Amino acid sequence: MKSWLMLALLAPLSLASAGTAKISGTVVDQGGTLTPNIVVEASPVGMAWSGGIPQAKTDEHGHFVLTVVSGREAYGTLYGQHWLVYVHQDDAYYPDLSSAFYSTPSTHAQTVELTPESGDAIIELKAGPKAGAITGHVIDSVTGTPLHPQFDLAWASGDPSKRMGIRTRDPYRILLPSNTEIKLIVQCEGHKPWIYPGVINVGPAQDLPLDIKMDPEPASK
Amino acid sequence: MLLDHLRLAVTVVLVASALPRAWAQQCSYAPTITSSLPASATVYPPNYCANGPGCSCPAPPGTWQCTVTCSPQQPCTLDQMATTTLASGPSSPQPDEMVVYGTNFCGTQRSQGPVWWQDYVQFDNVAGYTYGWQLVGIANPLGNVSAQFGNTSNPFQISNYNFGVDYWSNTLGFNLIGPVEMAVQQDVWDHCVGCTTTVRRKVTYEVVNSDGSVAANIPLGEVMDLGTSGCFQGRPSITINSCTVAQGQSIGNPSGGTSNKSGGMWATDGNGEFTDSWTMGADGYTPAGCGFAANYDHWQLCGLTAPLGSVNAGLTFATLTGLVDTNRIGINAGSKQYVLPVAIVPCPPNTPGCPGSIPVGTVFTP
Repeated sequence: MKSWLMLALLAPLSLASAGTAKISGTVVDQGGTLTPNIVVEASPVGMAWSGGIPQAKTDEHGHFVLTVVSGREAYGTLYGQHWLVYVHQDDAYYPDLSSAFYSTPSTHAQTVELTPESGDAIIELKAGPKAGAITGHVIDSVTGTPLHPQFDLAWASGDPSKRMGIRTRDPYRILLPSNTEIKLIVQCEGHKPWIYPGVINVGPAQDLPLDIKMDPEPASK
Repeated sequence: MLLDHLRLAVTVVLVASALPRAWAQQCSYAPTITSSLPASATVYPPNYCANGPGCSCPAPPGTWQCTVTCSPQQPCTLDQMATTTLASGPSSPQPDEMVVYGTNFCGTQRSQGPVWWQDYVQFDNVAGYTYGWQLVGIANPLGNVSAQFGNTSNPFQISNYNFGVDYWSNTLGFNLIGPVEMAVQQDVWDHCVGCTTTVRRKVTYEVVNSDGSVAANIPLGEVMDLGTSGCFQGRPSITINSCTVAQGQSIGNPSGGTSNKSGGMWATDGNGEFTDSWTMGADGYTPAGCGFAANYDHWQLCGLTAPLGSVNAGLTFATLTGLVDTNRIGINAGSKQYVLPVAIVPCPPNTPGCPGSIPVGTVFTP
């Protein structure tokens, strides 16, 4: 199960406007220093979604403001009541912590509760911990042609919620939760699956180079 | 002075990200009509910038110092455009200018075409002047002209409008550069926040303009129609990005059923990319595997600076279709449906539809 740090502080302010609320605060790094120019994301909890996840970048003082959908329907039902707020910046090794795959017991993501009565939320958010990454190229073992396969990743612990699939550009760079044993299977149309022998375990902000050659699969008869 | 014999220049200036502050400060007055004789009306046109000879533009609440006499009303004539290509979006070189030459500009004027610009029209009836129009959006408030990026002859007209009557000019065409497609850069599936079984799919697209450049930092919205849910609990209200409905407000589903919520506008980043997340958002829907169809999901470039809730409607550059179930999410591309996650990993040899993710580079068009 996720181990979320609970809401740090709710300020008794009015909602920003009908149907929305603000989540603001500051971001500090592991050492407690305010962190400028880093992306903070708020993922809805329990809400069906299509489109972009609300984001904001911290200013030079490490401060951010997010505006999210939150309110009460005319017939009384609350919506947008819970949000998971976290630092998400792949190039700085901060993964999408709204994914169970990246959530660890030491994850610094905060659940924020918003109600029309409690109003906007102000939080102090700690970045991290940083993920590690696997990086490299995937090519056809015969022709050397670059491939864009799908990476299926799962915690070696076997927790079914700790799975993720990703197909991305070449060269690939995929974040993995640090200090966690991960199993990897790579698949691409027309090629035999490639299975990592053993498990991968990378440290925080550590890159593991991993170039992969995939064997063509015999054509089906 | 007979307007028929004047050759006027109208400059269309593309300003994507901000209203024309200087002009607005000078010329944001409401129009005043000083004579109501239909055959010979003297009008002060809206947003008239009285910079012509003998004219001035006093600070509010001053009165206009210039008049335009129209007798009788008749259409103006558009002769040519000095520049016939406009780029839309903050990533385009700014400002783009289009000079429209014509005759008989008279009275209050408004335009029609695939751009929303008549509220920011400035004109003068003095030959030799440059007349500035601000292109502030791409919606069409007059409702009778379709816009198309990449079309080299989008229609454009100007009306001499007076006392409720439009006197439309001939039509000139121009090329409007803007987003026309999006290409898959990354396709991710995982479980939604707090979920152990219900999945989420996050696809990153690169939005491409009609001239092949990437559409960086453009405002986006989507128009989505969702099918009937097969879940006992019905279909959840889904939050979607919208060009026209303010964040947090309700959006009707085009084919009926549960209404949705606006998450406000979205935007591409500096690389022209954005990520579209689909999920039912929670465990607990039954029976297992239930869900609904995404009949269509039109991704659009929003009007650039028009206020929300007015004429901010966008232009579609890509359409998605697919399905959103608790345990899988499918996206159609061409004749194939890419469904994630697949049931068995690794896929058995030659399994159709495996591994389920959309190949990088797959293109979606309107």
